[in-house]
Amino acid sequence: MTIDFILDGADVSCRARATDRLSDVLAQEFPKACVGSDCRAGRCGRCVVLMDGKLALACLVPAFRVRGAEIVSPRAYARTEEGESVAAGFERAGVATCEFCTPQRILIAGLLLEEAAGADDRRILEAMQTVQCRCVEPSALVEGVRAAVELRSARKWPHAR
Amino acid sequence: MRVSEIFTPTSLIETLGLLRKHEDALLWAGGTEILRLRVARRPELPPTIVSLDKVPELRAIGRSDRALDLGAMSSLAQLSALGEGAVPEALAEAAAGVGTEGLRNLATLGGNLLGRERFGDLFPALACLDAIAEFRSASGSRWMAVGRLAGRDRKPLIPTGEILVRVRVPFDPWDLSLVRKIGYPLWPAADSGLFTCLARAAKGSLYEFRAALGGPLFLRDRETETELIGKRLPLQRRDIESARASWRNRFEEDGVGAPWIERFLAAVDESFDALRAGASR
Ligand SMILES: Cc1cc2nc3c(=O)[nH]c(=O)nc-3n(C[C@H](O)[C@H](O)[C@H](O)COP(=O)(O)OP(=O)(O)OC[C@H]3O[C@@H](n4cnc5c(N)ncnc54)[C@H](O)[C@@H]3O)c2cc1C
Ligand code: FES
Ligand code: FES
Repeated sequence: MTIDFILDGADVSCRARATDRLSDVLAQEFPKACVGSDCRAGRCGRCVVLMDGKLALACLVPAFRVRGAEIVSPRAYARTEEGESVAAGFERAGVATCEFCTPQRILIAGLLLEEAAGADDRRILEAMQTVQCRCVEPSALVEGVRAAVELRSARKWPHAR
Repeated sequence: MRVSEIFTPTSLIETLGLLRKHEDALLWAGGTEILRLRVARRPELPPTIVSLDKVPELRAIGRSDRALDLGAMSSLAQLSALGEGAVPEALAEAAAGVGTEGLRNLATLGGNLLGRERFGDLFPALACLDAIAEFRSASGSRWMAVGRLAGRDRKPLIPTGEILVRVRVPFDPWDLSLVRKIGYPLWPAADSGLFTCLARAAKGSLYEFRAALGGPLFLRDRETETELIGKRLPLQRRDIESARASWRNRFEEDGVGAPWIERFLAAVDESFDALRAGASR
Protein backbone atom coordinates (compact mmCIF):
# COMPACT_ATOMS: atom_id res chain seq x y z
CA MET A 1 0.00 0.00 0.00
CA THR A 2 1.02 3.61 -0.41
CA ILE A 3 1.47 5.49 2.83
CA ASP A 4 1.35 9.27 2.89
CA PHE A 5 2.36 10.98 6.08
CA ILE A 6 4.34 13.89 7.46
CA LEU A 7 7.86 13.13 8.56
CA ASP A 8 9.86 15.83 10.31
CA GLY A 9 7.69 18.54 8.83
CA ALA A 10 7.75 17.31 5.22
CA ASP A 11 5.00 15.49 3.31
CA VAL A 12 6.35 12.07 2.41
CA SER A 13 5.04 9.00 0.67
CA CYS A 14 6.29 5.44 0.40
CA ARG A 15 5.17 1.93 -0.41
CA ALA A 16 5.11 -0.67 2.33
CA ARG A 17 3.14 -3.68 3.46
CA ALA A 18 0.25 -2.54 5.59
CA THR A 19 1.50 -4.45 8.62
CA ASP A 20 5.17 -3.50 8.34
CA ARG A 21 6.39 -1.83 11.49
CA LEU A 22 6.86 1.94 11.29
CA SER A 23 10.39 1.49 12.68
CA ASP A 24 11.29 -0.73 9.71
CA VAL A 25 9.58 1.57 7.21
CA LEU A 26 11.55 4.53 8.55
CA ALA A 27 14.84 2.62 8.62
CA GLN A 28 14.41 1.43 5.05
CA GLU A 29 12.71 4.29 3.30
CA PHE A 30 13.88 7.28 5.32
CA PRO A 31 17.33 6.44 6.68
CA LYS A 32 18.12 10.13 7.25
CA ALA A 33 15.60 10.15 10.10
CA CYS A 34 17.98 7.70 11.87
CA VAL A 35 15.21 5.82 13.69
CA GLY A 36 16.73 2.54 14.85
CA SER A 37 15.26 -0.59 16.36
CA ASP A 38 16.71 -3.37 18.48
CA CYS A 39 14.04 -5.52 20.06
CA ARG A 40 10.97 -4.96 17.80
CA ALA A 41 8.97 -5.77 20.91
CA GLY A 42 8.40 -2.43 22.59
CA ARG A 43 11.08 -2.98 25.17
CA CYS A 44 14.28 -1.13 24.37
CA GLY A 45 12.84 2.25 23.38
CA ARG A 46 15.34 2.65 20.58
CA CYS A 47 12.55 3.28 18.05
CA VAL A 48 10.66 5.96 19.95
CA VAL A 49 9.19 8.79 17.84
CA LEU A 50 6.56 11.48 18.24
CA MET A 51 3.35 10.43 16.55
CA ASP A 52 0.73 13.18 16.41
CA GLY A 53 2.49 14.89 19.29
CA LYS A 54 2.78 11.86 21.57
CA LEU A 55 5.58 9.43 22.30
CA ALA A 56 5.10 6.17 20.43
CA LEU A 57 7.20 3.06 20.02
CA ALA A 58 7.50 2.80 16.23
CA CYS A 59 8.07 -0.96 16.30
CA LEU A 60 4.52 -1.38 17.65
CA VAL A 61 2.90 0.86 15.03
CA PRO A 62 1.87 -0.81 11.79
CA ALA A 63 2.21 1.12 8.54
CA PHE A 64 -1.56 1.22 8.04
CA ARG A 65 -1.87 3.37 11.16
CA VAL A 66 0.60 5.94 9.85
CA ARG A 67 -1.48 7.21 6.93
CA GLY A 68 -2.08 10.92 7.51
CA ALA A 69 -0.11 10.97 10.77
CA GLU A 70 2.61 13.40 11.72
CA ILE A 71 5.82 11.71 12.76
CA VAL A 72 8.79 13.51 14.29
CA SER A 73 12.06 11.62 14.63
CA PRO A 74 14.22 12.16 17.72
CA ARG A 75 17.05 13.41 15.53
CA ALA A 76 14.88 16.15 14.02
CA TYR A 77 13.46 17.02 17.43
CA ALA A 78 16.97 17.41 18.85
CA ARG A 79 17.50 20.22 16.33
CA THR A 80 14.45 22.19 17.46
CA GLU A 81 14.65 25.00 19.98
CA GLU A 82 13.27 22.72 22.73
CA GLY A 83 15.67 19.97 21.78
CA GLU A 84 18.62 22.30 21.90
CA SER A 85 17.66 23.64 25.29
CA VAL A 86 17.41 20.09 26.66
CA ALA A 87 20.85 19.30 25.25
CA ALA A 88 22.19 22.42 26.97
CA GLY A 89 20.53 21.35 30.24
CA PHE A 90 22.03 17.87 29.97
CA GLU A 91 25.44 19.38 29.33
CA ARG A 92 25.14 21.72 32.27
CA ALA A 93 24.15 18.87 34.59
CA GLY A 94 26.97 16.69 33.21
CA VAL A 95 24.58 14.02 31.88
CA ALA A 96 26.59 11.76 29.61
CA THR A 97 24.32 9.65 27.39
CA CYS A 98 25.59 7.63 24.46
CA GLU A 99 25.03 8.27 20.77
CA PHE A 100 22.40 5.51 20.61
CA CYS A 101 20.01 7.07 23.05
CA THR A 102 20.80 10.78 23.25
CA PRO A 103 18.23 11.97 20.67
CA GLN A 104 15.52 9.77 22.17
CA ARG A 105 16.22 11.09 25.66
CA ILE A 106 16.22 14.66 24.40
CA LEU A 107 12.83 14.05 22.79
CA ILE A 108 11.37 12.63 26.01
CA ALA A 109 12.87 15.39 28.15
CA GLY A 110 11.60 18.01 25.69
CA LEU A 111 8.03 16.80 26.16
CA LEU A 112 8.45 17.07 29.91
CA LEU A 113 9.54 20.70 29.51
CA GLU A 114 6.36 21.37 27.64
CA GLU A 115 4.10 19.86 30.30
CA ALA A 116 2.23 22.80 31.76
CA ALA A 117 2.43 21.97 35.46
CA GLY A 118 6.13 21.09 35.43
CA ALA A 119 7.16 17.50 36.00
CA ASP A 120 8.12 16.07 39.39
CA ASP A 121 11.00 13.62 39.78
CA ARG A 122 8.71 10.59 39.62
CA ARG A 123 7.18 11.78 36.38
CA ILE A 124 10.62 12.41 34.85
CA LEU A 125 11.89 8.97 35.85
CA GLU A 126 8.75 7.31 34.59
CA ALA A 127 8.96 9.03 31.20
CA MET A 128 12.66 8.24 30.86
CA GLN A 129 11.94 4.53 31.38
CA THR A 130 10.74 4.44 27.77
CA VAL A 131 14.43 4.09 26.86
CA GLN A 132 15.98 1.10 28.60
CA CYS A 133 19.58 1.45 29.68
CA ARG A 134 21.65 0.84 32.73
CA CYS A 135 24.56 3.08 31.85
CA VAL A 136 23.09 6.34 33.13
CA GLU A 137 22.08 7.00 36.70
CA PRO A 138 18.37 7.85 36.66
CA SER A 139 19.08 10.70 39.11
CA ALA A 140 21.45 12.26 36.55
CA LEU A 141 18.63 12.34 34.00
CA VAL A 142 16.37 14.06 36.52
CA GLU A 143 19.07 16.66 37.11
CA GLY A 144 19.50 17.10 33.35
CA VAL A 145 15.79 17.79 32.88
CA ARG A 146 15.78 20.13 35.89
CA ALA A 147 18.75 22.04 34.48
CA ALA A 148 16.96 22.38 31.13
CA VAL A 149 13.81 23.66 32.86
CA GLU A 150 15.90 26.17 34.83
CA LEU A 151 17.70 27.37 31.74
CA ARG A 152 14.45 27.92 29.93
CA SER A 153 12.63 29.60 32.79
CA ALA A 154 15.58 31.88 33.55
CA ARG A 155 15.69 32.58 29.81
CA LYS A 156 19.38 31.88 29.90
CA TRP A 157 18.93 29.87 26.78
CA PRO A 158 19.45 32.38 23.98
CA HIS A 159 16.49 31.26 21.86
CA ALA A 160 14.01 30.72 24.66
CA ARG A 161 10.63 32.18 23.90
CA MET B 1 0.74 -15.36 5.22
CA ARG B 2 0.05 -12.07 3.52
CA VAL B 3 -2.40 -9.61 5.00
CA SER B 4 -4.82 -8.88 2.21
CA GLU B 5 -7.34 -6.55 3.70
CA ILE B 6 -7.29 -3.82 6.32
CA PHE B 7 -10.61 -2.18 7.12
CA THR B 8 -10.86 1.12 8.92
CA PRO B 9 -14.55 1.58 9.77
CA THR B 10 -15.73 4.99 10.95
CA SER B 11 -18.80 3.92 12.95
CA LEU B 12 -19.83 1.10 15.23
CA ILE B 13 -22.54 -0.03 12.83
CA GLU B 14 -19.99 -0.33 10.03
CA THR B 15 -17.64 -2.25 12.34
CA LEU B 16 -20.37 -4.71 13.31
CA GLY B 17 -21.24 -5.22 9.65
CA LEU B 18 -17.61 -5.99 8.86
CA LEU B 19 -17.38 -8.41 11.74
CA ARG B 20 -20.45 -10.28 10.52
CA LYS B 21 -18.99 -10.55 7.05
CA HIS B 22 -15.46 -11.45 8.17
CA GLU B 23 -15.89 -13.69 11.19
CA ASP B 24 -12.18 -14.38 11.54
CA ALA B 25 -11.10 -10.75 11.29
CA LEU B 26 -8.58 -9.57 13.85
CA LEU B 27 -9.73 -6.48 15.73
CA TRP B 28 -6.81 -4.07 16.03
CA ALA B 29 -7.00 -1.68 18.98
CA GLY B 30 -3.55 -0.38 20.01
CA GLY B 31 -1.92 -3.47 18.53
CA THR B 32 0.68 -3.62 21.31
CA GLU B 33 -0.46 -7.00 22.63
CA ILE B 34 -0.91 -8.33 19.10
CA LEU B 35 2.65 -7.33 18.19
CA ARG B 36 4.12 -8.27 21.58
CA LEU B 37 3.31 -11.84 20.68
CA ARG B 38 4.78 -11.55 17.17
CA VAL B 39 8.31 -10.19 17.22
CA ALA B 40 9.29 -11.40 13.74
CA ARG B 41 10.34 -8.62 11.40
CA ARG B 42 7.23 -9.26 9.33
CA PRO B 43 4.61 -10.47 11.80
CA GLU B 44 2.30 -13.33 10.80
CA LEU B 45 -1.23 -11.98 10.97
CA PRO B 46 -4.67 -13.16 9.91
CA PRO B 47 -5.75 -12.13 6.39
CA THR B 48 -8.34 -9.61 7.56
CA ILE B 49 -7.78 -6.84 10.07
CA VAL B 50 -10.37 -4.38 11.32
CA SER B 51 -8.73 -1.29 12.77
CA LEU B 52 -10.81 0.25 15.54
CA ASP B 53 -9.07 3.61 15.85
CA LYS B 54 -11.52 5.64 13.79
CA VAL B 55 -14.70 4.45 15.52
CA PRO B 56 -15.87 7.40 17.63
CA GLU B 57 -18.31 5.33 19.75
CA LEU B 58 -15.35 3.37 21.12
CA ARG B 59 -13.55 6.53 22.23
CA ALA B 60 -16.33 8.18 24.22
CA ILE B 61 -15.69 8.88 27.89
CA GLY B 62 -18.57 9.98 30.11
CA ARG B 63 -19.40 10.12 33.79
CA SER B 64 -22.35 10.34 36.10
CA ASP B 65 -22.37 10.67 39.89
CA ARG B 66 -22.25 6.92 40.27
CA ALA B 67 -20.07 5.61 37.45
CA LEU B 68 -17.50 6.32 34.80
CA ASP B 69 -18.07 5.06 31.26
CA LEU B 70 -14.86 4.42 29.35
CA GLY B 71 -14.82 3.66 25.64
CA ALA B 72 -12.86 0.51 24.83
CA MET B 73 -10.44 2.54 22.70
CA SER B 74 -9.47 4.88 25.57
CA SER B 75 -5.71 4.76 25.74
CA LEU B 76 -4.04 3.81 29.00
CA ALA B 77 -2.25 7.17 28.94
CA GLN B 78 -5.65 8.86 28.75
CA LEU B 79 -6.90 6.91 31.77
CA SER B 80 -3.98 7.91 33.92
CA ALA B 81 -4.20 11.52 32.69
CA LEU B 82 -7.87 11.96 33.61
CA GLY B 83 -6.58 13.04 37.00
CA GLU B 84 -7.17 12.38 40.67
CA GLY B 85 -10.80 11.89 41.52
CA ALA B 86 -11.88 11.49 37.89
CA VAL B 87 -10.92 7.79 37.75
CA PRO B 88 -11.06 5.32 40.65
CA GLU B 89 -7.59 5.29 42.18
CA ALA B 90 -6.98 1.57 41.62
CA LEU B 91 -7.73 1.89 37.89
CA ALA B 92 -5.57 4.99 37.42
CA GLU B 93 -2.70 3.30 39.24
CA ALA B 94 -3.01 0.07 37.27
CA ALA B 95 -3.09 2.00 33.96
CA ALA B 96 -0.11 4.17 34.88
CA GLY B 97 1.97 1.08 35.60
CA VAL B 98 1.55 -0.62 32.22
CA GLY B 99 4.81 -0.65 30.25
CA THR B 100 6.29 2.72 29.40
CA GLU B 101 4.82 6.00 28.20
CA GLY B 102 5.54 5.24 24.53
CA LEU B 103 3.45 2.10 24.98
CA ARG B 104 0.64 3.60 27.07
CA ASN B 105 -0.06 6.16 24.36
CA LEU B 106 -0.84 3.29 21.97
CA ALA B 107 -2.29 0.62 24.28
CA THR B 108 -6.01 0.65 25.01
CA LEU B 109 -8.38 -0.36 27.78
CA GLY B 110 -10.13 -2.89 25.49
CA GLY B 111 -6.88 -4.53 24.40
CA ASN B 112 -5.74 -4.78 28.00
CA LEU B 113 -8.93 -6.55 29.05
CA LEU B 114 -9.13 -8.88 26.08
CA GLY B 115 -5.61 -10.28 25.81
CA ARG B 116 -5.91 -13.95 24.99
CA GLU B 117 -2.68 -15.16 26.59
CA ARG B 118 -2.87 -13.53 29.99
CA PHE B 119 -4.76 -11.01 32.07
CA GLY B 120 -3.69 -7.42 31.57
CA ASP B 121 -3.01 -5.26 34.61
CA LEU B 122 -6.37 -3.51 34.39
CA PHE B 123 -8.25 -6.77 34.75
CA PRO B 124 -7.84 -7.41 38.51
CA ALA B 125 -8.38 -3.71 39.24
CA LEU B 126 -11.60 -3.56 37.21
CA ALA B 127 -12.82 -6.90 38.56
CA CYS B 128 -12.38 -5.64 42.13
CA LEU B 129 -14.09 -2.37 41.25
CA ASP B 130 -17.12 -4.39 40.04
CA ALA B 131 -16.85 -2.89 36.57
CA ILE B 132 -19.17 -4.12 33.85
CA ALA B 133 -18.45 -4.32 30.13
CA GLU B 134 -20.76 -3.76 27.18
CA PHE B 135 -20.24 -6.10 24.22
CA ARG B 136 -21.96 -5.56 20.88
CA SER B 137 -22.52 -7.90 17.99
CA ALA B 138 -24.77 -7.75 14.96
CA SER B 139 -27.49 -9.39 17.08
CA GLY B 140 -27.47 -6.83 19.87
CA SER B 141 -25.82 -5.61 23.03
CA ARG B 142 -25.12 -7.28 26.36
CA TRP B 143 -23.50 -6.23 29.59
CA MET B 144 -21.40 -8.56 31.66
CA ALA B 145 -19.29 -8.28 34.79
CA VAL B 146 -15.61 -7.84 33.89
CA GLY B 147 -14.76 -10.64 36.35
CA ARG B 148 -16.64 -13.08 34.13
CA LEU B 149 -13.95 -12.72 31.49
CA ALA B 150 -11.99 -15.23 33.59
CA GLY B 151 -12.93 -18.87 33.03
CA ARG B 152 -13.24 -21.65 35.61
CA ASP B 153 -9.69 -22.65 34.68
CA ARG B 154 -8.64 -19.14 35.80
CA LYS B 155 -7.55 -18.27 32.25
CA PRO B 156 -8.95 -15.58 29.92
CA LEU B 157 -12.38 -16.38 28.50
CA ILE B 158 -12.74 -14.01 25.59
CA PRO B 159 -16.04 -13.68 23.71
CA THR B 160 -15.70 -14.07 19.94
CA GLY B 161 -17.71 -12.30 17.27
CA GLU B 162 -18.38 -9.40 19.63
CA ILE B 163 -16.84 -6.01 20.15
CA LEU B 164 -16.16 -4.55 23.54
CA VAL B 165 -17.71 -1.09 23.33
CA ARG B 166 -17.25 0.37 26.79
CA VAL B 167 -16.57 -0.39 30.41
CA ARG B 168 -18.64 1.08 33.25
CA VAL B 169 -16.75 1.58 36.49
CA PRO B 170 -18.73 2.42 39.64
CA PHE B 171 -17.46 5.18 41.92
CA ASP B 172 -17.47 3.66 45.38
CA PRO B 173 -15.58 5.11 48.31
CA TRP B 174 -12.70 2.88 49.44
CA ASP B 175 -10.75 3.12 52.69
CA LEU B 176 -8.04 0.91 51.24
CA SER B 177 -7.07 0.87 47.57
CA LEU B 178 -3.87 -1.08 47.17
CA VAL B 179 -2.33 -1.88 43.79
CA ARG B 180 0.93 -3.81 43.49
CA LYS B 181 2.84 -4.91 40.43
CA ILE B 182 4.10 -8.44 41.01
CA GLY B 183 7.36 -9.70 39.48
CA TYR B 184 9.05 -7.98 36.56
CA PRO B 185 7.33 -4.60 36.13
CA LEU B 186 8.12 -3.33 32.63
CA TRP B 187 6.61 -5.97 30.39
CA PRO B 188 4.63 -9.16 30.84
CA ALA B 189 7.09 -11.81 32.01
CA ALA B 190 6.25 -15.31 33.24
CA ASP B 191 6.33 -14.08 36.85
CA SER B 192 4.59 -10.74 36.38
CA GLY B 193 1.08 -9.65 37.20
CA LEU B 194 -0.89 -7.13 39.17
CA PHE B 195 -2.57 -7.42 42.55
CA THR B 196 -5.42 -5.22 43.73
CA CYS B 197 -7.10 -5.06 47.11
CA LEU B 198 -10.04 -2.80 47.96
CA ALA B 199 -11.59 -2.54 51.39
CA ARG B 200 -14.14 -0.39 53.16
CA ALA B 201 -14.95 -0.17 56.85
CA ALA B 202 -18.21 0.77 58.52
CA LYS B 203 -18.89 1.09 62.25
CA GLY B 204 -15.57 -0.46 63.18
CA SER B 205 -16.07 -3.58 61.02
CA LEU B 206 -15.00 -4.68 57.58
CA TYR B 207 -17.88 -3.82 55.26
CA GLU B 208 -16.32 -4.72 51.89
CA PHE B 209 -13.18 -6.64 51.02
CA ARG B 210 -11.97 -7.63 47.55
CA ALA B 211 -8.59 -9.04 46.54
CA ALA B 212 -7.49 -10.26 43.12
CA LEU B 213 -4.29 -11.07 41.27
CA GLY B 214 -4.06 -11.17 37.47
CA GLY B 215 -1.22 -12.44 35.31
CA PRO B 216 -1.07 -15.73 33.42
CA LEU B 217 -3.96 -16.76 35.72
CA PHE B 218 -6.64 -14.89 37.65
CA LEU B 219 -6.72 -15.47 41.38
CA ARG B 220 -9.74 -14.35 43.33
CA ASP B 221 -12.01 -16.12 45.75
CA ARG B 222 -15.26 -14.44 46.68
CA GLU B 223 -16.13 -16.96 49.38
CA THR B 224 -13.05 -16.10 51.37
CA GLU B 225 -13.81 -12.41 50.89
CA THR B 226 -17.33 -12.98 52.22
CA GLU B 227 -15.94 -14.77 55.29
CA LEU B 228 -13.98 -11.64 56.14
CA ILE B 229 -16.87 -9.24 55.79
CA GLY B 230 -18.38 -8.18 59.09
CA LYS B 231 -15.23 -8.93 61.12
CA ARG B 232 -14.23 -6.30 63.68
CA LEU B 233 -11.30 -4.08 62.85
CA PRO B 234 -8.44 -4.38 63.47
CA LEU B 235 -8.66 -7.94 62.22
CA GLN B 236 -7.64 -10.60 64.75
CA ARG B 237 -4.74 -12.91 64.01
CA ARG B 238 -7.11 -15.89 63.82
CA ASP B 239 -9.33 -14.14 61.22
CA ILE B 240 -6.32 -13.50 59.05
CA GLU B 241 -4.97 -17.04 59.43
CA SER B 242 -8.34 -18.53 58.60
CA ALA B 243 -8.70 -16.37 55.48
CA ARG B 244 -5.17 -17.24 54.34
CA ALA B 245 -5.88 -20.96 54.78
CA SER B 246 -9.14 -20.61 52.88
CA TRP B 247 -7.49 -18.88 49.92
CA ARG B 248 -4.69 -21.42 49.90
CA ASN B 249 -7.10 -24.38 49.88
CA ARG B 250 -9.25 -22.91 47.17
CA PHE B 251 -6.33 -22.11 44.88
CA GLU B 252 -4.64 -25.47 45.52
CA GLU B 253 -7.88 -27.28 44.68
CA ASP B 254 -7.90 -25.44 41.36
CA GLY B 255 -4.32 -26.53 40.64
CA VAL B 256 -2.78 -23.06 40.98
CA GLY B 257 1.01 -23.41 41.36
CA ALA B 258 2.65 -22.66 44.71
CA PRO B 259 4.58 -19.56 43.51
CA TRP B 260 1.36 -17.78 42.47
CA ILE B 261 -0.36 -18.73 45.72
CA GLU B 262 2.58 -17.34 47.68
CA ARG B 263 2.58 -14.12 45.62
CA PHE B 264 -1.13 -13.70 46.28
CA LEU B 265 -0.77 -14.34 50.02
CA ALA B 266 2.20 -11.99 50.35
CA ALA B 267 0.20 -9.21 48.69
CA VAL B 268 -2.82 -9.96 50.86
CA ASP B 269 -0.59 -9.75 53.96
CA GLU B 270 0.52 -6.31 52.82
CA SER B 271 -3.13 -5.34 52.42
CA PHE B 272 -3.96 -6.53 55.94
CA ASP B 273 -1.01 -4.52 57.28
CA ALA B 274 -2.22 -1.43 55.42
CA LEU B 275 -5.72 -1.99 56.76
CA ARG B 276 -4.39 -2.28 60.31
CA ALA B 277 -2.34 0.89 59.89
CA GLY B 278 -5.46 2.66 58.57
CA ALA B 279 -7.61 1.39 61.42
CA SER B 280 -5.15 2.58 64.06
CA ARG B 281 -4.98 6.09 62.58
C1 LIG C 1 6.92 -3.84 26.00
C2 LIG C 1 5.55 -4.19 26.47
C3 LIG C 1 5.23 -4.00 27.80
C4 LIG C 1 3.95 -4.33 28.26
N1 LIG C 1 3.70 -4.15 29.59
C5 LIG C 1 2.47 -4.46 30.05
C6 LIG C 1 2.19 -4.29 31.44
O1 LIG C 1 3.02 -3.81 32.23
N2 LIG C 1 0.94 -4.63 31.86
C7 LIG C 1 -0.02 -5.10 31.03
O2 LIG C 1 -1.13 -5.37 31.46
N3 LIG C 1 0.23 -5.29 29.72
C8 LIG C 1 1.45 -4.98 29.21
N4 LIG C 1 1.72 -5.17 27.88
C9 LIG C 1 0.69 -5.79 27.03
C10 LIG C 1 -0.19 -4.79 26.21
O3 LIG C 1 0.57 -3.72 25.77
C11 LIG C 1 -1.34 -4.21 27.03
O4 LIG C 1 -2.08 -5.23 27.62
C12 LIG C 1 -2.26 -3.31 26.21
O5 LIG C 1 -3.21 -2.67 27.03
C13 LIG C 1 -3.00 -4.05 25.10
O6 LIG C 1 -3.86 -3.10 24.47
P1 LIG C 1 -3.87 -2.90 22.89
O7 LIG C 1 -4.87 -1.84 22.61
O8 LIG C 1 -2.53 -2.66 22.36
O9 LIG C 1 -4.41 -4.33 22.44
P2 LIG C 1 -4.36 -5.04 21.03
O10 LIG C 1 -3.01 -5.64 20.86
O11 LIG C 1 -4.85 -4.16 19.95
O12 LIG C 1 -5.46 -6.18 21.28
C14 LIG C 1 -5.30 -7.23 22.19
C15 LIG C 1 -6.44 -8.25 21.94
O13 LIG C 1 -7.69 -7.68 22.28
C16 LIG C 1 -8.59 -7.70 21.18
N5 LIG C 1 -9.37 -6.44 21.27
C17 LIG C 1 -8.86 -5.22 21.48
N6 LIG C 1 -9.85 -4.30 21.57
C18 LIG C 1 -11.01 -4.99 21.40
C19 LIG C 1 -12.40 -4.61 21.41
N7 LIG C 1 -12.77 -3.34 21.61
N8 LIG C 1 -13.33 -5.57 21.22
C20 LIG C 1 -12.96 -6.86 21.02
N9 LIG C 1 -11.66 -7.28 21.00
C21 LIG C 1 -10.71 -6.36 21.20
C22 LIG C 1 -7.70 -7.78 19.96
O14 LIG C 1 -8.37 -8.37 18.87
C23 LIG C 1 -6.56 -8.65 20.48
O15 LIG C 1 -6.90 -10.00 20.42
C24 LIG C 1 2.97 -4.84 27.36
C25 LIG C 1 3.29 -5.00 26.01
C26 LIG C 1 4.55 -4.68 25.57
C27 LIG C 1 4.86 -4.84 24.11
S1 FES D 1 12.72 -1.60 18.74
FE1 FES D 1 12.86 -1.86 20.86
S2 FES D 1 11.18 -0.69 21.54
FE2 FES D 1 10.96 -0.61 19.45
S1 FES E 1 21.97 3.34 26.03
FE1 FES E 1 22.72 5.36 25.84
S2 FES E 1 23.55 5.83 27.74
FE2 FES E 1 22.78 3.81 27.95
